[in-house]
Amino acid sequence: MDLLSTKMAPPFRMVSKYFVSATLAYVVLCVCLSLGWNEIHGHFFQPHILALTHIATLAWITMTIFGAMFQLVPVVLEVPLWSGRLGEWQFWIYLAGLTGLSSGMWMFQVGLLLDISGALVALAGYLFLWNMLRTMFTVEKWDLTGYFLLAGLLYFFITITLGLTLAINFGHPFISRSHIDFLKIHAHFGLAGWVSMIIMGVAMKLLPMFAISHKYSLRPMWIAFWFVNVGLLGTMVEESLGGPDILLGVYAGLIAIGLLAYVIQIVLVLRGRLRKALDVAMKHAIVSFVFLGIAVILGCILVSIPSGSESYLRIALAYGFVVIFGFASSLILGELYKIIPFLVWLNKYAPRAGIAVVPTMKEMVNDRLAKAELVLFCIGVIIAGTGLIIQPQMLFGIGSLLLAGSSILFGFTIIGIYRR
Amino acid sequence: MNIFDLDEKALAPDSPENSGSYADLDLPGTVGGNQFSIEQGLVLQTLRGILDPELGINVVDLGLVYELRVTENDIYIKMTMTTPGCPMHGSIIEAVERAIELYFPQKKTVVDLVWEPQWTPERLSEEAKEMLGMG
Repeated sequence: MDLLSTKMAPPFRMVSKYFVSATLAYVVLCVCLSLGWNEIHGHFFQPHILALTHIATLAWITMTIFGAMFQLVPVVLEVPLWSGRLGEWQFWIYLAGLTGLSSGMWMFQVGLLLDISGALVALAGYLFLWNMLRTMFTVEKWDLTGYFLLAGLLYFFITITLGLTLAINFGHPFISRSHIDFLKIHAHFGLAGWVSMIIMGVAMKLLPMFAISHKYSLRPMWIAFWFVNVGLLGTMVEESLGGPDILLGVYAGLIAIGLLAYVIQIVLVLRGRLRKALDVAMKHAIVSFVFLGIAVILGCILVSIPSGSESYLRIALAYGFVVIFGFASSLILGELYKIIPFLVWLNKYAPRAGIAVVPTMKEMVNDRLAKAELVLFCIGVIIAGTGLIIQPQMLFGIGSLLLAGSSILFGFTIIGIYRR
Repeated sequence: MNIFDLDEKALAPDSPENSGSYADLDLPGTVGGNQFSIEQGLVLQTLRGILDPELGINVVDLGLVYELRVTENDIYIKMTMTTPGCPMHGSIIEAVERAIELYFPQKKTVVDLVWEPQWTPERLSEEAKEMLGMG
């Protein structure tokens, strides 16, 4: 081997900035939800829901994905990161942008603040894309995970470009069609495209590794790849050209089949695993796939009922909540229980491994805290999600309070890993 | 089965008077009673100190060592990882090099990471299987 993974690892401090900020954002998000539980109802297009959604997607989920991709793409695809310094610049631009964007939405201060902060977020996003594409350009061995990551990057480009367009349109309306239509495409490309493609691709690389699973068919994963992508691109064309609703249902169905194929793939991987005991990270992943199934069901209900009705709005909120928390956050939390110890281990202990006693990565995670976090998280999401669907709102309040508790436990677990 | 699955040539003793038995060194899974040099045994013992940081199992019990040759001036180790593209491969290889260089400073060490033949679960030692919950 000419290039060892430790030599290709990106700067520890740069990557840590992303993970620490993301963890902080997750705690802030969950605490805000538990404090403002009474406002999370009605139409999703309202300032506080928009602000919290963007804290969730930009500050928590996307920030984590940035860090994870900086950390994992070089070691998994065996190429050095194109520029660590650009990653550093991107972080500060992004942080400034999302702070402005979230506060602008919270206060519904449209105009200059949203324009500038939206532009900063988009600029940081384009810098990330440039850095990643330049990095991946040199990859020699492409595998399925690589294709998932590439597709995710494409959707990221579309999502941030649409997001910037919408942010500008708030203050200076120029889109002739309803901005809600654009918002739907923006949200779907962000969640089902960017977030799902990346975390599913990364999980497919990490899960077999952690569970030591061999000899399984990759067919469901390929089905997932094509069905989700054709469905998403079809949705975009359909929403842009305004075709018949039935086609939208077909595309939604393709995405649903693709996501279920992915769940089947994970079942195949886990069934063939050699490492029988499931740790908290694996359990978080399994929980996320259960919630993915629930999200698919909610999504199917959503396209089959008239938009704008009271039940549509309730299910739409619950759908967004289950996708963001039940699926994406759960999978990300699980992956972070592996990625952050890996990052810290690589920086702190790898140079001494072989000549001194160093901890294993499992020993770096406070298992009791992590288990408590998982239990609170699951109960919280179930109660809060149920509250959004069937009401009363108080249920959502209780669920989000549990979620806030679990996020604080997660925060302490991460601090513990860094302090090991 | 021999947990190392090293071919007999790879474990051939350097010299008859310097030969020992794997079993004599109380290494795990000493099935087959391959004869090999004391030095080879010591290198294997050193490798037992290198853990996969994710699994907490040493590289020998994981069956990652494919070949081990010890000559007067060199130590050659051919090994693999459980999964192609494992993000830990760099650290594990470096840990192996570091440990061997520390205990055998007079010899030149070469660690060769290979992905073919691919690692299979059959290479796990009984202890490793037990630790993974496969027992």
